[in-house]
Amino acid sequence: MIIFPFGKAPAVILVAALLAGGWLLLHPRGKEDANLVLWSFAKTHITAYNQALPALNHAYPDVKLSVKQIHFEALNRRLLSSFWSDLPSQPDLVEIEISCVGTYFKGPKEQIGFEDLKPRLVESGMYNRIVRNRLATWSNRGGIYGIPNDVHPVMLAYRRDIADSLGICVDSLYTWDRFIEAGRRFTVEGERYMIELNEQNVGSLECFLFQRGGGYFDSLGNVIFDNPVAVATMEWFVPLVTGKGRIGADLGSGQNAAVLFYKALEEGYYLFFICPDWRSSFIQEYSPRLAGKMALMPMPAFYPGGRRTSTQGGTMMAITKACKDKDKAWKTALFLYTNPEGRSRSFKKTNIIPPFRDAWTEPVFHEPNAFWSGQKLGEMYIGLADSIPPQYSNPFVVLAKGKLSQALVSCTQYYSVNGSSGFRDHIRKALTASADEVRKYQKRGLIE
Amino acid sequence: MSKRISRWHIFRHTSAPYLFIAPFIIMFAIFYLYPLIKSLILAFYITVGPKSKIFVGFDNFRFMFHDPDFYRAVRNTVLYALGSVFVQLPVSLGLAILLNRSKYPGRNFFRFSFFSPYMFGSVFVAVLFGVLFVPHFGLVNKLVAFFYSVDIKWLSNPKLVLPALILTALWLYAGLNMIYFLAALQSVPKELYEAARVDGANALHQFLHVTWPGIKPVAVFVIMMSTIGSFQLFELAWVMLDSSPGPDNAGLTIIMYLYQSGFVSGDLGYASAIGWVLTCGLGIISFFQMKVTGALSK
Repeated sequence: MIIFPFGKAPAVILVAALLAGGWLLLHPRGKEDANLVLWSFAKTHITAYNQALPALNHAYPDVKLSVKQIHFEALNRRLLSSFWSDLPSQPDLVEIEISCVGTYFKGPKEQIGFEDLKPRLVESGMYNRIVRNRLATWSNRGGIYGIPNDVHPVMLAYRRDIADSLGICVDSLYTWDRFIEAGRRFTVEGERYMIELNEQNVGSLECFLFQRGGGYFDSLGNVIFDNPVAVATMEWFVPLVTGKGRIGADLGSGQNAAVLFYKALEEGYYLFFICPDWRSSFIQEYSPRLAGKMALMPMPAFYPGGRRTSTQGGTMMAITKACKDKDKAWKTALFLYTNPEGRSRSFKKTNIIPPFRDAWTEPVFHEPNAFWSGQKLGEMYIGLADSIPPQYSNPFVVLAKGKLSQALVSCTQYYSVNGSSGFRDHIRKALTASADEVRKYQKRGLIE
Repeated sequence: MSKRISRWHIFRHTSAPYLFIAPFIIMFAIFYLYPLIKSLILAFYITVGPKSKIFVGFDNFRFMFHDPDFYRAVRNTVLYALGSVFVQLPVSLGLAILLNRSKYPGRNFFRFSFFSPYMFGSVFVAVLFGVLFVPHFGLVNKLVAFFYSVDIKWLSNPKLVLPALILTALWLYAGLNMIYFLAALQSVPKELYEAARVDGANALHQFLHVTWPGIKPVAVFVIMMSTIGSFQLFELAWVMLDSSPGPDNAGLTIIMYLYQSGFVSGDLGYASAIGWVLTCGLGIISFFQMKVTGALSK
């Protein structure tokens, strides 16, 4: 009998390890025959890309694409870590969401992990086909690091049935002054609000800030959320969510509140809400009972003839510098974003209009949508697409959002106690203090 | 032959301990020791983007101690830790004492029930409570509405964010700590209680002079682990507040501050500095806790 020198337990562990190792050795993971790998966080995109694979293979037999869905947070952490450490585990193509793209632009330009696609966009003529302001989001120091997937113009969605029963004529609500006036008549505190507005986070405020031509940063990366536009927007916004004349409320932000948002909408807690194209499909999916009871209208303007839309959200497709065959990746990205069948399928599923102007004539974007009271949803969003304001990305945008949120809370608290007395001065101070905090980080963190 | 056997015998006895601890040492060196040393070095650099770093000496620490967000994070974390120690632990101890009574009907069911939230994990609990705390439509506010007609904005009101987090953590962790206390209570000899009763000790005296000394080592351990755990608060708040520090940074914790600096702003050097300050802070707090509770005197 053979006696293992270190006892029975280590012998068992050793045998188990050898068996497991041997099994893995004999059953290696099937080697992927893909020559391009695409990472995306969006399930709807993944579905559309997988559906487009046969057509892609037909059009480009040399492309063998593997599409991988990775959770939003995990995708960004893994990709950033890969960039920082030069790990080989980088995808060839990747979709990046607007809220985190700024992080990838930190540091010297030559160290950005994405390929600058501007030369290819210009050479292929795509540059002139895309809504120009949409390219601003994905641009940094003269380079364009992704193909935009969307435009995401914003409209107001509303409960048409309730608005009709209350005698609200939405055509007359073409300025915010008129909208607010109507809102004060139809809001019943605690029971029904004219519009869903975020009270403490900047989701709604930034939408109005963009509509007025403001933002967090300008095209050169300077902090601008303490400029006169921001002060005026804050002064206009806070009374809408605070005090007796309020017309807006929210259920908090994010996924937790979103679960109950649809219930609130069905119960008539909100009459109107900010609705970029992507959100309209969510309403269709999660509140099917509201079919035929909903409608859309352009956002009221801040002055007659002013901009009647804003922008919210966005995704780009980038090619990583680690990609071995960038030509192949480029033609694949273009195919996925521009092939008419895929676009049609994608629009029917997501209501998202593409950023390519020449695609807007396709019939699918001009079909009436029964859920939205027979309105031609695509056509309505397309009508606003060229008016969207630019939204500049920046490595410090997350910090800036947090600081603007702090200023919003401070202003809300001030207004609830003091009303409009000294309010503008307080706004100026709060915004300047917040913006200076971002400048402090900016000054420290820039290595050019 | 015998010489060969004796050499083999010596080899077995001398090498065996090292072989047994080798897997741990190797893993520890790769995944703990190296990152620990690397992070200490990084703490003296600003890192920006993939490969850029500049030696800045103590500037990361200087910047941190001048940053109001750091103090906000420390304040929030300390308040949460105090909530954990002074709310959670008494509740856990109370439940343990209650469920330690042999005559208590259904005690095994309640032991399992109180412990079960911990099995769900903090992310699930955060999602669950995120929905429960929704104003107007959330279950918590529906219950509150029975008594007061107010719509409480638990996660939107900066003043209520921390209480909401402490309440959630109470539900999540009270059962786990109860199990520790329960195990400790069961190790206190019954004869001591009988002797105390003979001496005329009432319930309070029995607790102070029999129970507490008996469970003190475990209590010290639970207090320390709760404090350290509280200072590591991240995923519960992060998920509940929808991947943000909440309104007016009301839910910003030290780890969240570290995470944002390292993985959102991309400054791993600053994040390392925060990590080392947290480590030193926890070391000091643990030392004082051990000193105060007398754990060092043995």
